[in-house]
Amino acid sequence: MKPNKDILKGWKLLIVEDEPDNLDVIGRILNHFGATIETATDGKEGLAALERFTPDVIISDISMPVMDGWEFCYTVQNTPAIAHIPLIALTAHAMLGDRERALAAGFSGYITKPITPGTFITQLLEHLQMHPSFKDRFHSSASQA
Amino acid sequence: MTEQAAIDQVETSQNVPIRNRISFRLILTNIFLAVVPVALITALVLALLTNQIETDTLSDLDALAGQKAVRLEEWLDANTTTLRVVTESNIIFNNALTASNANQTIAAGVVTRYLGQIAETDPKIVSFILYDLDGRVISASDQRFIGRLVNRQPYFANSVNAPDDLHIEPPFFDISENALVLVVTDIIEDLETDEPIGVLAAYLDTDTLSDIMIDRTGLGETGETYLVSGENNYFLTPSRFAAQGFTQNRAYRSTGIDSALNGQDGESLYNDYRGVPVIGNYRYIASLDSALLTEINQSEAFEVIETVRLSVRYSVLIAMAVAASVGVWNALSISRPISDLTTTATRIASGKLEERAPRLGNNEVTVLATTFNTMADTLTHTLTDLDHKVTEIAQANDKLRVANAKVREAARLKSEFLANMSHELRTPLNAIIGFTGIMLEGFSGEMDDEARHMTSRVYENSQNLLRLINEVLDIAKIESGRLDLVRTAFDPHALARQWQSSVGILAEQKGLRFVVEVDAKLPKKLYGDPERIGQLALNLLSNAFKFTDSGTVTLNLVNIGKSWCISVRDTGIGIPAHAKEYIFDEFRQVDGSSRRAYGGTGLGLAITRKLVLMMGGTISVDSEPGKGSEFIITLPLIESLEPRESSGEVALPALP
Repeated sequence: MKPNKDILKGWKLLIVEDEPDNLDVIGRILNHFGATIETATDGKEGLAALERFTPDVIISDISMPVMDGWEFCYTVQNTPAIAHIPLIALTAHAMLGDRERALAAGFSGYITKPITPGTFITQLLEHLQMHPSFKDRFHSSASQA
Repeated sequence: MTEQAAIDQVETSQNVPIRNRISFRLILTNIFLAVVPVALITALVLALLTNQIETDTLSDLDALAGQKAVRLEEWLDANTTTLRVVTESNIIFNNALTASNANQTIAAGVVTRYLGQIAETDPKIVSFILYDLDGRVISASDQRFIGRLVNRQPYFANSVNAPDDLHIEPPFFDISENALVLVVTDIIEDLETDEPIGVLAAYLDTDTLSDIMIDRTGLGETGETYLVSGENNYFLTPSRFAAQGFTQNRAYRSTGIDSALNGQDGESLYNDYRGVPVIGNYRYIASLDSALLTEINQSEAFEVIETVRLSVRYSVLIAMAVAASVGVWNALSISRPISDLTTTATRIASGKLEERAPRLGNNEVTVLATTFNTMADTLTHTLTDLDHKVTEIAQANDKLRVANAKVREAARLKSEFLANMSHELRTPLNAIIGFTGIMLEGFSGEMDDEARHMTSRVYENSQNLLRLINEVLDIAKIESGRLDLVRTAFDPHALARQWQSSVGILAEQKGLRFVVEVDAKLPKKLYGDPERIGQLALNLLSNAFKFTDSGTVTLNLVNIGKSWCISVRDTGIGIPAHAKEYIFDEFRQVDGSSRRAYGGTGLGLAITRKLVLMMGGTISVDSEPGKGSEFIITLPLIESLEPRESSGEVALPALP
């Protein structure tokens, strides 16, 4: 049942997370599965990164200094060049109702902290497979594997 | 209600029409009661008095008239007596009437002297006349008569034909003498043959007649007696009010005169010759062929009545005044307290609660005023109490409002605190679980058994800590009403498969059999909150695995009518009967001791039950200690987004 080690090979992801330890954990997991990642420590940095780097998916924390996840999500969605990039919220806001808020705000996925490598990659893959623009890609990559 | 409005609503005594006021009616009644008896009695008294006065007056008049008549008769009698005495001296009259011419002259002279002497001595007789049967005056006391003829005088024929010699001629007016004449005659008979040979006539003094009549003693101011001639209705004696009617062309008439001259005596009330109302007595004096009238003006006779009537009028006026005064006094004594009471009531109605009605006198109205005051006291007390209570309630309300605001603020702070807590606890846990997870996955190289064991202990304890945090935060959120359920489409069959894969590892770890049975009748598309429903199922399943050491855990999804059931049955330790009551309460486990064999916060079932109730469902448990338990969640079967009518069995939750 364990996902293929190279399942995210060829994928480019932007991770926006202010907590260095968490950023480290996420980075290690994604690297393990072969993804190419860029990181930013707040929304503003994330926007700056998006100018030089166009990821397939953005994984963003919500509570961050300078520019939080809500504002970041809103800005991305209202910037035509990058509005198509799906955003997945990765947050410690795991109270009942927080998921609904995030989905309503425009995030296409929602993963709660804390994460384990297994649950995180499973949830991430679920989101990616469900997303319309990635369906074919998984089909081909799955067939390659 | 404003004060002005209160005053407007009260009907003040000034608004009562005067004719309806008690005072007016009492005054009217008093006057009526005072005047009517007085008037009735007065009328009766006046009638009786009038009658009495009439009777008395008539009686008096009758007596007077009788007196006058008697005096007339006496006067006439005296005169006739005198005449008879004179005629006793027959011899000298015979000589004068029968002697020869020469002797006769001498004899006549004797008679003339004799008669002159008698006429002088008797003032009642004016003069004597001796005439023969031819009416030739033979001799007279007044020598002017001698030689005249009297055969044309009214009395001549009567005197010579008088049946019993004596004759009284009713008075008449002698035009030649211009005087009223009353003549009494007596026949002189021949001494030898007893044949009438002449008549001796005496002219009476009619002034005496007048004197008798003019004597008005007892006749007051207007009373009078007079004689009216039967010859042609003229006055024989002077009237008080008319000139003495010695003229033939003055005829006086009245009921009394006419009746008397017709020979009827009587008395009655009539208008006299002047047309003035009189009370009169009338009688016919046959010897004088005259009417004797005794009359008095009714105005004088009844003057007493007028006086009485006048004094009665004053009495009535005084009585009315007194009655009115008493009425006013009475009315005021009744109506003023009522009026005062009305004024007081009006003031109280306008909000002047301290007003009280004055208590005057000691009567029913006083009692009313006292009762009214008592009522006003009670009212004041009640209103004061009410004021206090309203103030108290207002104060209590203020306190409640403040307390409520504090509670809401506290709830908001709690909620905020929980959200922050959740976030702040998860953040370090993410690093712990993340790193230990990576280590256990071997991303960063293999560990020896010792390190792996310790890392997995860290990992599992972190997971326990995370679950504890989740449950505490969830129940807090549910209790503060901040949980919103979504309603989206889901496939219960797919959900069951998902749950199976999620908890399958637990069955593997404990070596238990895990059976999933899904009713084929269960629709493939239902509406609800799949995340929360999953939370319910996973809660029950993880409990079942936790408390079961061997045997089977069965998940069963069944469609029963308009609801569907998620049942989780195990072959675990079961639940004692007494514990079934509280296993759904927060922080309760069957074994609450510190040495209990199973971990957990005791919040799982509490959260489950609350979520089920929020979804409009029910949860029940059936268990036998030592043999196992079965938890059954029943949820409404919602096949469309359109709200359905409540099935009665299961109520729909309110949609967010």
